[in-house]
Amino acid sequence: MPAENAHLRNFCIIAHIDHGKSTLADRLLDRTGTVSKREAQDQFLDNMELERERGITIKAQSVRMQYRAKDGKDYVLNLIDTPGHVDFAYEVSRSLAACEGALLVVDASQGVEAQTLANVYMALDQNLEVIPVINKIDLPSADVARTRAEIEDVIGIDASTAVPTSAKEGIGIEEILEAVVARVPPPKGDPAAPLKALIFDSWYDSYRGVVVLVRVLEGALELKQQILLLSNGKKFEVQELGVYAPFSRPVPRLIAGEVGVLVANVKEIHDAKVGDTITEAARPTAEPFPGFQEVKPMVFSGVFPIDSADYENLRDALEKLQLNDSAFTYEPETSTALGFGFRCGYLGLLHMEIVQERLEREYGLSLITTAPSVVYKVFSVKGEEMLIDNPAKLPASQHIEHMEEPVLTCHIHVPDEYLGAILKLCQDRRGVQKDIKYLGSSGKRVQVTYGMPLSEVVFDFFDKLKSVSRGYASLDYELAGYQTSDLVKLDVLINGDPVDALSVIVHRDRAYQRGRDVCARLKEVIPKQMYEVAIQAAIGSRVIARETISAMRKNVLAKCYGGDISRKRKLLEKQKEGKKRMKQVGSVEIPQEAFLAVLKTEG
Amino acid sequence: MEVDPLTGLEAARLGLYVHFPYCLRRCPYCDFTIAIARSIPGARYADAVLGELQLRLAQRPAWTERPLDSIYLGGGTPSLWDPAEVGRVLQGIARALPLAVDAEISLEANPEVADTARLAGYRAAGVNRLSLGIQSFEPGVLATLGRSHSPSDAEDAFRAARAAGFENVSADLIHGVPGQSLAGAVEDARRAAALRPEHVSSYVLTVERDHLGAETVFSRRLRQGRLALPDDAAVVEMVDAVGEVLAASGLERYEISSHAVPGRHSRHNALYWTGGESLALGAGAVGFRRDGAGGLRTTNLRSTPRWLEAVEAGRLPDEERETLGPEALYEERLLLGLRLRSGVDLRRLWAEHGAVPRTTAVEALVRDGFLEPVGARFRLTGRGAHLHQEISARLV
Repeated sequence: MPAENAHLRNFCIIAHIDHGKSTLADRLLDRTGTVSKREAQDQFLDNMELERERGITIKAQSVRMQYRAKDGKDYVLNLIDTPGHVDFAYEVSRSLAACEGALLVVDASQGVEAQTLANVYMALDQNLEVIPVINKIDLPSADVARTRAEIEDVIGIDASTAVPTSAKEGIGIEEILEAVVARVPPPKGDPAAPLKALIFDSWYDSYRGVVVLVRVLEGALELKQQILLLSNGKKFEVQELGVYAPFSRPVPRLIAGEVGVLVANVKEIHDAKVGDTITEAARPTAEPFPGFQEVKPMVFSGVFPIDSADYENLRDALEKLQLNDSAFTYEPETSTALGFGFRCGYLGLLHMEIVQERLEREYGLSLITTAPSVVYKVFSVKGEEMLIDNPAKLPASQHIEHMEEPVLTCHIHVPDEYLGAILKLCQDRRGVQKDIKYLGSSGKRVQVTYGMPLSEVVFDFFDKLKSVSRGYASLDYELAGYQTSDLVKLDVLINGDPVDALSVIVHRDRAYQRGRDVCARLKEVIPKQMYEVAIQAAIGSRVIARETISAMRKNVLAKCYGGDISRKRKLLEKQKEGKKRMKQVGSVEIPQEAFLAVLKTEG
Repeated sequence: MEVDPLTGLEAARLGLYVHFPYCLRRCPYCDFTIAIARSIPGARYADAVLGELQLRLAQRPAWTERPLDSIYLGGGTPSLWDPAEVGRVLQGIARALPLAVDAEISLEANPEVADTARLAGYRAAGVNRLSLGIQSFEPGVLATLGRSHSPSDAEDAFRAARAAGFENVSADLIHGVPGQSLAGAVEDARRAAALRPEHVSSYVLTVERDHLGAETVFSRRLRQGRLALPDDAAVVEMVDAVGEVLAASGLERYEISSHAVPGRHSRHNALYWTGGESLALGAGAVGFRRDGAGGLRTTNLRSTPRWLEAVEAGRLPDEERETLGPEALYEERLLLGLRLRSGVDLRRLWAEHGAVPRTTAVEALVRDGFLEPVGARFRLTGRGAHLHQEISARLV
């Protein structure tokens, strides 16, 4: 092991969503003097407004800390943050690849959750030293011994040295830092070898272009160096190197084992993809770091401006968003009902919600989002294969030989008292049970594994899972290929005209129920109009469900003299504002939430 | 008195409104500025009204440049005001401001206190139009509304008005009252029409808090689910049936809630519907004047004691001032113009206010039978009139 690296430790924190990762990170920064009290904005690592609000991490961060250990030596500790949601599993794997160790944070009263488990296995696969940390020991419901046993039973690692901690109360912080120094191995890698560096995150900065977070595995990155990206063969010159401590500080070089920031005049985020390997153009490494994947969107939805005059603004906003999000895609889409908009692709539902919120909040746009769709494989009677991500584009049934849909393997952790409800939910979502096992010796926690169509999971499965288990169930999933399914397109007709943006692809067995639910739901969300409105659900030319919204009979105010006038005008203005949140389809005004409501059906 | 070019309605261009807030009790549906008093300080209030007039004229002498086309004494219950005091107020106004020879001078009267002598006093004071708050001839409906007069009181009051020399009398009716039937509403219209009034205002009871200026007993009960109102379809039927009965007696509907013998529509009310200016005096009174391309709407202090205190101390009793831009004025003219049976010249309205023409929306509304052309103007059809607010929202 090179002596240069002996004082270096690279580690990350693996934790379930509310098990206290951010608070722990803050305490570590605090204890090492990296962040002064004055700077310590709560939860330093989650710096995007949305992340802070939702308590999740989307972009990875890394912070360098200086620590003098009990052995009297000074160490440099790099804390690498990882995204905290199942939509971003690949990003997590790349962040883990930049580390030699991981703190596994487990809530002392909640125990191990599915998402944590998935990430721990990933860390163990990558030979990371996993240090269990039992957090929130200050809570009355904390049970350290049981949690310790559960970690050993469920994950199969030694938890005897797990550090009991309360990040909130600042208990155990010192012990964690000592454990990192003592147990996480210093990085390997020869600083004199040809350069090999892993990109584990990248983002777009409007002043500097693409900023890349790298872990140097071998060799060294130097200013002015000509670098080569192995996935696309593009070359760039290194312009800036830096470390976060926690604010960016320039450094002349980054050597094997170090983690830092690289700016190299890269203009597009697609040229610096997470997982790619950087090498020196003049002396390239023999082979890339393994595991690079092109991230592909799994879920698609139409995004349309309510006011068609906003189309250009929407396009500009999407372009800007994409600069910073290589997993997000968009292309123009035209809908008969909604006009010009875009078909957008996302990693998952959370990603979709984040994109929409940013479009509405940061760019001030009023949008209609159509129900999300997965990518179906459609095989035509002529033997062609098509990929369809938009129900409106599905060919007529007589041209379809068969269809396939993407399926997931879902792992759900749940206390046994909610098992029945979870099994029913999975069954209702066309799940096929693969495995069921009790975790640990207590016999109170169960892991069930289901094969489930992605389309059944994308919409509100997670919410339902949480509600039937009072929030105790947790979910992890991975893509498990495609399966043949008997699928049909369910169309919605408003006053006899099909509204393409309301179509969904569903399983034939569930089409009738779905049709009824959709009509009932639309009847709830579409306000009374000046005309009677007929809502129908149809498969092909066959109407399978119908609801009628009766016409508004009366909307007039009696007296209108001196003092009433302002009040009535304000009422009018309020109505006018309300109409801005509606889309005129034919002669019917449809509120924006109706387009998503088609999937939110069962009560 | 001029004809408003946008609506073709003859309307006061400048009017004066006096609010008399005193009532013997608060009716459960009323959201107006009122003050409950056992003994009415009529002389003090008259002094204060005249005092406010002087303050307003001192502040803006331009009020005297044009003659007043109308004076309206509303309330509250202005018929609780001693006729001598009313006379003093009207004289004071006439001394301070030019008054058109054909000025319409209205007073709202409650059938409870409306004997011939009293009404003759108002007539002698200069009042030439009386608006009688009859509301209904059904004892149960009157009780629900908290009115203390009887059906025969209302008829007596009407005859007293005639005897006192009033040639222009209006009757107010309310329908859509809890417990009221279609037959009851029709009967009310018949009995009102039988009195041969020149004018009938027929109001649908408004209860929703959002539509009122203040919380009422009814609005609270409605929210608590303790008020059973007739459903929309039933009210629509009542409005249509009442309109037919009145029309058969020569009282034509000229505004959503107003019916009149031809030529006898209220000039003062028409002022509000055609963007006319009004000088307002008294507690809670609302005035309006043009100001360049926009306008200014002022509301006096709503609390009667505070209004009195301010005026008596020589201070302007302003509570609210609302500046209206051209867009707000446009919205009001559209909203109010569409209330009129004479219609509103939309093209001219758009042109005068620099508004974006909503031709497509107009065409669709005409096609679907909610709007109809009358010469250069458009008006709501009978069906459209029930959806006035909704249709207006499509045109702004």
